[in-house]
Amino acid sequence: MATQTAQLTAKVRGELGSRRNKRLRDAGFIPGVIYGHKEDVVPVTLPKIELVRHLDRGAHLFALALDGKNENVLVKDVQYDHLGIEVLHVDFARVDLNERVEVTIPLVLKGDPKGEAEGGVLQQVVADLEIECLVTQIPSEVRHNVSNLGLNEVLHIKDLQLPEGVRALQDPDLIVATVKEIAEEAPAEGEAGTAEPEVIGKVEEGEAPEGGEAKKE
Amino acid sequence: MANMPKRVKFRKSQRGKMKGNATRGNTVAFGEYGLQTLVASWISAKQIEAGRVAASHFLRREGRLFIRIFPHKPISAKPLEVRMGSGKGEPEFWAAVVKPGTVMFEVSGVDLPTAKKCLARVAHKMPVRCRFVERRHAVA
Repeated sequence: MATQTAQLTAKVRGELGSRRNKRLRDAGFIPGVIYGHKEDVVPVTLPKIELVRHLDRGAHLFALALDGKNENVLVKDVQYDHLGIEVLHVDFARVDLNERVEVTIPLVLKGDPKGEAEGGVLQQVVADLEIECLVTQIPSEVRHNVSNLGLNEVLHIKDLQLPEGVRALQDPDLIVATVKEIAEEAPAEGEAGTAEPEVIGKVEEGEAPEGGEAKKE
Repeated sequence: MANMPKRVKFRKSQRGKMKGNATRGNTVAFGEYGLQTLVASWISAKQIEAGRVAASHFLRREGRLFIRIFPHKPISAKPLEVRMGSGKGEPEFWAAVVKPGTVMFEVSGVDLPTAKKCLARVAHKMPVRCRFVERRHAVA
């Protein structure tokens, strides 16, 4: 599915600083910044509920209504709080609708690999795919059917079928997923409190440290 | 001992502070689902091991478990009925320091209900309030 432009109304943010941004967040807004195309950096304020709704749907491209004019921007970075719940700040880069851009999209593996019947477990190593495509044709996700993946077989980036006009930026030989048998982990050894780790630089009793005599003098 | 470093520079460490929130290790990075702590605490090697055992018994080789924390910190204690003074006690156990937001365990290769059940069992072994988290896909 190609990108749909998310519409959002933004205001120029006159007051800068962490304390003012905190007040903004408390009032239901999110601070952001627009940059790129060798134009001025513009700090903006965005409505939290609408922005988060669009971000949760995986929106990349936004049409920001800013001071009476429309600006097409691409989400460059989203900062979350320490728990990953609240959006703290958003970076937008100005973009032309005919431009090719580099974005990250989710990679979703579908189906049950045939290797699972033989005791294997599907392990997805790469969950996000870095791609280059037209800004208006950013797919929401890339799906790949892994039902043909046998035990100890691997799926590479080059094996993925990408939509037309989309190019993967990662190494074609990068492993995306494998089906492997999971070895049982050995339980931790020894009794509690019995063993101690080796101390780096500790001198054993009876051994004189090198240069010890010289230091005393 | 369950888990501890192989080599250390010093046998004993000071207690330290657990101020602030986790600024790293606070996202699901290896698996699809994770268990995140909501408070700062020490997680002892025994507790980490108990969590690992609880998860691996539940998963029974169906999924993969990732342990994101390691007990780097030696915690010393004085024996019972010993007067104060006479130096620092001997190392009693090893602990991992976690701050609010730290993702402690992750699982992959299982569906959402199984992951929730699995990590709920692990959460019961933890001395902290925990939260179940899913992997968030990068936007840019």
